[in-house]
Amino acid sequence: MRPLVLLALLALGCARAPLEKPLLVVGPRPFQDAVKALVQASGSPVVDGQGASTANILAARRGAVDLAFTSRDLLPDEDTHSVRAFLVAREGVAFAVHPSNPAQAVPLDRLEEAVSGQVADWSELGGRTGPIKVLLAGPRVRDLVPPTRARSVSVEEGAADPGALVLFPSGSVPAGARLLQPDGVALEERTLLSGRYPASRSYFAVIRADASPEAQAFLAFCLGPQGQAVLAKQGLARVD
Amino acid sequence: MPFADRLPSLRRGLAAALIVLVGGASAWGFVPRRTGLVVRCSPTVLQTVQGAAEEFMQAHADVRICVLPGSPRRTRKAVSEGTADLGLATRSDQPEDHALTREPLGREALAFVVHPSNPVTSLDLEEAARLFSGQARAWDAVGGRKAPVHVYAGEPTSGLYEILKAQVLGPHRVVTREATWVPDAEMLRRVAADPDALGYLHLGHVGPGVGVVAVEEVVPSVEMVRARRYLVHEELELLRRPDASPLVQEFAKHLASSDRFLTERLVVPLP
Repeated sequence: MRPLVLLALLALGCARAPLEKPLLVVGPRPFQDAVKALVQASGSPVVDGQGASTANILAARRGAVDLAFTSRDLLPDEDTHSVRAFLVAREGVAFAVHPSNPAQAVPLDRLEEAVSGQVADWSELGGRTGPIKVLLAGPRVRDLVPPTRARSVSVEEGAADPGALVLFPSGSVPAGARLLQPDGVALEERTLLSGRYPASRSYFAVIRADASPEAQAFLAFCLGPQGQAVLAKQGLARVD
Repeated sequence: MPFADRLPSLRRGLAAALIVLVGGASAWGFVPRRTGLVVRCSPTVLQTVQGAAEEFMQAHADVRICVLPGSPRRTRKAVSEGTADLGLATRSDQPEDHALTREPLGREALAFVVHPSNPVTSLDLEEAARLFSGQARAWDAVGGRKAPVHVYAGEPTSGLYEILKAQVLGPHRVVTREATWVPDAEMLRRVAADPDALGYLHLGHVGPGVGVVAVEEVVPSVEMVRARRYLVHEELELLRRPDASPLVQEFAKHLASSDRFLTERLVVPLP
């Protein structure tokens, strides 16, 4: 009888008792919605917080958090033997123009200058003479580009303006949009994953090498098919 | 011990069991299982690997391959620890490498470059080390004109820097603090514009506008590297863990058989 009682108690304990210490997970601003969605879908007791990538990495290295998401790769001196950084998703910025705009392949640095206002005329980007109107559309895009005074608009408004340069996150580009090719590279899933599409960023999950089994399990969820499907719903390119 | 006190450790045990199911607990420690691939490689071969990855994804629609740049040290660490499935890095004999499966892909060679007007056309290894470390600061120390040497150094995370360090500078010398550090992609342009410049390029990236310096009187070329008569080179290796998945092995095979490295002169085939 005694083993059966023990098994019953164990099952009861596993089913009802919450973990004594929830995981603490932090992520940078562009990844906040993704973190919340991952936490919700995992069903794990996770407390999420926000912080810049550098601070998040430091927190993970020092064990102040169980797992830190970052929107950049580790720097060489951050990549010590005490931490591991796993690629969890990729995302790009799409540069859409009106179908009548003849511009096509444009150096990325010229596009960045257009976003910051240093380049103001389409003739400098291979288009017809006329002012460039930089617009932002889709979720999070303001977090993906350098600080800009560009106005946020709806997808429809952006698509209808012949002088517009509309920036979208790669997961929110409307079907049929005409996209510029930064540095001559078209935005496709393949070029985004390979890293050849230049206007892109990678998201990493950073954990300590001696992370707790619970933190490792949460990481495995993020890298697995369920977690990756959650990230894809957030408009990010899955990497599994 | 009261049973209630043992519950946290039992739950940890269950969590660990979950990891074994969704990830992998082995001699490597925790390595989450992925169906896609993450590849780390030296910036010098990054574009080539990216191209090969896109080619592979085009042929295998259900496969995702992500490519990340990384110094040779970082690449080896990533593959060892499981944050990358496959790596391309210059050969080393670090102890952690011995546990990895290593496959030579060919040789990467480094060429010293100067402005075309520079009369110095040959250096021996010691002269090159003295110039790059700042122990010799003027071109006349190596038979050139009376002018300061402007040292240009490439990205310290690249495989080329590792070749320079291992084959030229050695363990006790570093690149001079007065060096101008430039991205590898800008090296050709910067050296071509500076009459007193001394820089280095991947043999496959040497182009018009710069003079190539012979080392120990041997002008770098594919043939001279292959014959091991040109000395400043190192093997480029494919690295993977012994327990690599069949997909990792298939992509490694794709890379090893790809002629991209050869046609882009990034790798000199082994004899």
